[in-house]
Amino acid sequence: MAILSWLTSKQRFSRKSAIDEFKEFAHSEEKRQRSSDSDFDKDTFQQAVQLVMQKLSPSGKGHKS
Amino acid sequence: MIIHSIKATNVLKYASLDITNLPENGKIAISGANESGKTAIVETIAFALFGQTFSNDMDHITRTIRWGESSCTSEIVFTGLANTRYTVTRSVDKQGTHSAELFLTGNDTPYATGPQAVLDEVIKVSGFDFEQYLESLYLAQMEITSSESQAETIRAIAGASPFEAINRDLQHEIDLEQASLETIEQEQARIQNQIEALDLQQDRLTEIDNAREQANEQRRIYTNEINQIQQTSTKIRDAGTAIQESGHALTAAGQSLSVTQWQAYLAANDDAIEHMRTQVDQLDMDSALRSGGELKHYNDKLKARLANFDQVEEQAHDYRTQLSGQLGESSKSDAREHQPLTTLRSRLKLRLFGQRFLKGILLLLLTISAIVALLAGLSWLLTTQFPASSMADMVWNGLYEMAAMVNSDYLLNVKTTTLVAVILAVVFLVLSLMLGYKINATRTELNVVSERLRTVQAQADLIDNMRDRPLPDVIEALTKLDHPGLHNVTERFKDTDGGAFVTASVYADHQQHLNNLLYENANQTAELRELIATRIADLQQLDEEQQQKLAQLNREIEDIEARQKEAQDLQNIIANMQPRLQEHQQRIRVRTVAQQLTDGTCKQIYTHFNKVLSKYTALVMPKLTEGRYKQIQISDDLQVRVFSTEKNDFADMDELSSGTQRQIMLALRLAISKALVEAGQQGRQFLILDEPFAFFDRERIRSTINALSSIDENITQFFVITQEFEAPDQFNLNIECSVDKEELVISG
Repeated sequence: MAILSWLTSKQRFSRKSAIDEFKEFAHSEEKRQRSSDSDFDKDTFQQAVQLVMQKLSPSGKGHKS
Repeated sequence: MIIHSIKATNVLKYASLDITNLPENGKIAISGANESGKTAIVETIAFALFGQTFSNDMDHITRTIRWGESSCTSEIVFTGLANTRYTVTRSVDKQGTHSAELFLTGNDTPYATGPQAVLDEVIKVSGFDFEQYLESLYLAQMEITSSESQAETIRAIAGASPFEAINRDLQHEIDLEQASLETIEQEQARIQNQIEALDLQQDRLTEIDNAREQANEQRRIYTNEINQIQQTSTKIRDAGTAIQESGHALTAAGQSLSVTQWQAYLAANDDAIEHMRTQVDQLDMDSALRSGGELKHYNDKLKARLANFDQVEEQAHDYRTQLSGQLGESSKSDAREHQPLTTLRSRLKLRLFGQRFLKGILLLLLTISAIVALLAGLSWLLTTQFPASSMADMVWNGLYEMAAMVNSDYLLNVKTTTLVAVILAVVFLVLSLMLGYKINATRTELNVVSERLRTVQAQADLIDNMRDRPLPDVIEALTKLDHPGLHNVTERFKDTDGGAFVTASVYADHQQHLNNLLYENANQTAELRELIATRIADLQQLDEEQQQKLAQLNREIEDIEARQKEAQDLQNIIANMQPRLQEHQQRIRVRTVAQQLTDGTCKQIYTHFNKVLSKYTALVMPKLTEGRYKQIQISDDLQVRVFSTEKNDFADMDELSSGTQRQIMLALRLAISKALVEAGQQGRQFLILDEPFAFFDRERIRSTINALSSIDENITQFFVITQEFEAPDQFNLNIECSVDKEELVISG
């Protein structure tokens, strides 16, 4: 079920955490951009991922406490 | 999770809270006026379970302590997973001391001790953490009824809020970076304007270099010309001096000059004049000296006149040839006919010598004869006239001795000898006298020949050295020679061309004329040198102008180079800004990519979220709206549309009333709760609705409350908070709160 793919990504009832959600998307996006014809700036991409991850971390601004 | 009891002391509003026997299946109404402690009850649930509340996070949990108290405690009995009943207790004091314990109900031994351990176990046995509790099970009024766009609510529900917050944060950082970037770019533009204002004139530098090269080349030309003119001027001065010296030497020499000297003087004059002319020719100036002037003309004239002496010389040489014959210098055959004077003189000398020799012999013989005659005669006289004398004896004795040697007849012999000797002496005397006459004749002839020879020799010498002797003397001498041709040509020379060299008066005129010409030449030379000086001054002026032009160009170059240096410094400043600029650009790129990633993540979340909502809103919506609306659709821009059965189409939220909008949003939250409960499979679950019915009319409140039980079979316990209920009988338990009450004791 689609709902389960979203809601039960963890072992138990839980929506995926923002970090996991982001990691998943960043991974697929990196894969997509690498395979595309356009120039892929790996460094910039990695810096962007690290920046978002940093902000998603508990000490980051985006973390919902 | 089902809540069975809620107990607390000094939590928020309540000094004591004791709610027990809460219905496991049913609706629990919590009502009361504002500030009556309705929400404090559900906040106490969150505090007991998670150590934090909707209003106070863990860092500020001491705010949960009732005003004026030093600590608070709470205890909740709930049924968790596996239908197990738990008791969780928690206490916090003002010093921040936080303790918690989890018990299996009926068991005195804590199942977990300590805030973190209890939290972890609560999450395990309840099936959700605090965030999920807030998002799914605690439906606060502000989320449901907020006039803020539904999009915000959906973001929060869908879990996109962190990304939205990060996105805003990133945008803020991008704006800051962009502002910094613009500041740097403006600074660069300002510096670039300064550079452009410097007006570097790149082409001008090339022009100046060319102009400098031309000016330097012009200066070299001027300098060379000045040096050349100065050298020429010096040479002209020296040539002028040479002309004056040679000219004055000519005038000072008088008439004692020979042809050779005249020629030398004239040649020197000519050389000096020619030298002058050559130097003047090198100058591009008008001057009489260019052609040598009158002096040159006069000098040539004198040379031409002197050249006519060649005719005299020719005739003189012809005459000299004749003299050569007389001097025996010629080997011509006619010498036999015309015996050279030298030969004649030699013969005469030889003859004279012979005659003198012969005369000597004759005189010797005469002397001897005379002596013999004398001696013989004396002997004879003594012996004959004075025989008794001693002298005679001595002579006799001598004679006897001699006679003994020669002849005994000495007397006869003496007499004969005397006679013969006398005769011989006379003969010799006569001969000597005759020879003496001859000698005198020969001597006279020799003298004549010698004189003639000297004369001829003198004439020959005159002719041979005629070029080296004073010309007047030569001419005078030549006119006296016995040679008609020579005489004529000499006279003609003296009267015509040679007058200037020979005749004193003519010479004086020429001398005066030469002096005048020399004076004129000196003036012309001086004028020319003035012209040269003027020309040099002009050239120096031109050179000075070129120097000034060069100085001006150099100053301009220095100015341009200074501006170029300043521009370079400014360019360096711009270049030094580039790393900062690139750093900001990179930070913007990183943040832009980060935004794209967060946007993409949000979109992914919304896509998933939409799929969930499609199912669960279809289940919840009709029940909550009595079939008027069936399904919710959320667009990519998070705009909510709802399917209206009346319209038989999706309607925008803007088309709906405020009450309907909030009812639909409540349905959305309930659908999410249903989805979570169903997905969690944790069994029965309570749900808290904190004042969900704002803007709801009475009927809608009634229908909504009735519909709650049918949303999901596992959501059995509802805490509904509102100020008042029109129909309390719809609830299984009514908890009435009062502003004045600090204690609340309820038993269901």
